[in-house]
Amino acid sequence: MSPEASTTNDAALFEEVVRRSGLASWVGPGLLRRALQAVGVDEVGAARSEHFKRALPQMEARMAVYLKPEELAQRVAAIRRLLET
Amino acid sequence: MPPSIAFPNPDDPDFLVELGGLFIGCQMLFTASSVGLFEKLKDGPLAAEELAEAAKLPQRSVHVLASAMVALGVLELKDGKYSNGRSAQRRLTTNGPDDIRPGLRLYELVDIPLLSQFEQAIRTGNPIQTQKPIADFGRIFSEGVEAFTRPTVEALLGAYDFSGHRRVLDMAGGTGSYLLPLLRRHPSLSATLYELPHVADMARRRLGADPHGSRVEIVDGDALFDPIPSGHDVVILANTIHLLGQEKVQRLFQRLRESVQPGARLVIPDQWMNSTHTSPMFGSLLAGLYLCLSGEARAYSLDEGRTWLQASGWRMLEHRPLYGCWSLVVAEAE
Repeated sequence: MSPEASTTNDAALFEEVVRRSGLASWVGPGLLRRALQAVGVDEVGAARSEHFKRALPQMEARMAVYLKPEELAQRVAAIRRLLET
Repeated sequence: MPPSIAFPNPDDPDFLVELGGLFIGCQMLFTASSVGLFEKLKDGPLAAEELAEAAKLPQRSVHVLASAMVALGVLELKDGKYSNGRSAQRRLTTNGPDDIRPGLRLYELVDIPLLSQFEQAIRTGNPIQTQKPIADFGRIFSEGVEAFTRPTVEALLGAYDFSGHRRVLDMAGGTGSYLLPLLRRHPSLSATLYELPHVADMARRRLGADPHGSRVEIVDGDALFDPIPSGHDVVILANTIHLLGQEKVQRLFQRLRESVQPGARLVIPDQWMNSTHTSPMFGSLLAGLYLCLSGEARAYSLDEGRTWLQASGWRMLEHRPLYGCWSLVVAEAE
């Protein structure tokens, strides 16, 4: 796989994680990026599945500010399923 | 003959038909802007065939579009030639000082697709996610909001005296559209712009290209989760609370209060509504858009704002009009 194709796929993964988070479009990308930064990933385009897995607890904590507990659990499970495929 | 357009009158038999059909006029306005109709007319009147040639469009299409724009009062027609009306010349061309075309693009490319799922937002109470790629969404959103709020920024600088302050925090400050005019006017002020990382990146590029940008420290984070920097004697919180649910607004007021000393000011330009949330009219409409964007927010009333400020350790000092449906609330840390 070429580096360009990899970056495109990683960007698509980021967008899919944002979508599954259920967070509003104006806030979701920023929150997930902060979560990735917390596990040492500064470049969203370089974030791979394993990075998101490491960032998941941080993502969950941030998402909890915006989502009700029941929805939070569903959304986190949906992201986890994505990362395990 | 002057245009006959008026906002649909509730007493007219066709009131609801015309009200429901306003979307046609909106779409025609966006299209007229995006195909460059107003730009082609910025240097003077043109006949339909001249306008068609200049815009490289079929003459019949131009005639349909231009006629509707005349009927809506956006263009004028005199002696067989079309010209920009005052608003179009000022706000829909590169000649104008207040170009709002990025705002129209926000309406067309982000807001209308969101509103097409309005029923889902109403039924579920969840935000509608834009189908635009994230980078495009951020850019279109920021540029559009900035275009729409430019006159409000100017009005704020006339309505509130920042000269007694030394360091301002622009919370959720976008790409610096409030800060840059403020810093230009007050050379002794320094500033912090706080934003989510994907917007902060855009702010860095924008501020980096402006000589006053060097007086701004950009901090990225989520104001409801990450630490809020201290050391500011005035906080601007513009166009933000209407994207947050009530509990989050209160939490944000509280966190901001904890970040400043007593006597610090909180300046909140927003669409402050009356107690029934029915006026200003445009604020009531925007509330629907905010519901789509966030799933839980709305334009809040002055009474709500006063109550939440008080509960968070702020004392509301004044409320005054700014521009259009925007008005200003000023509070002081107790």
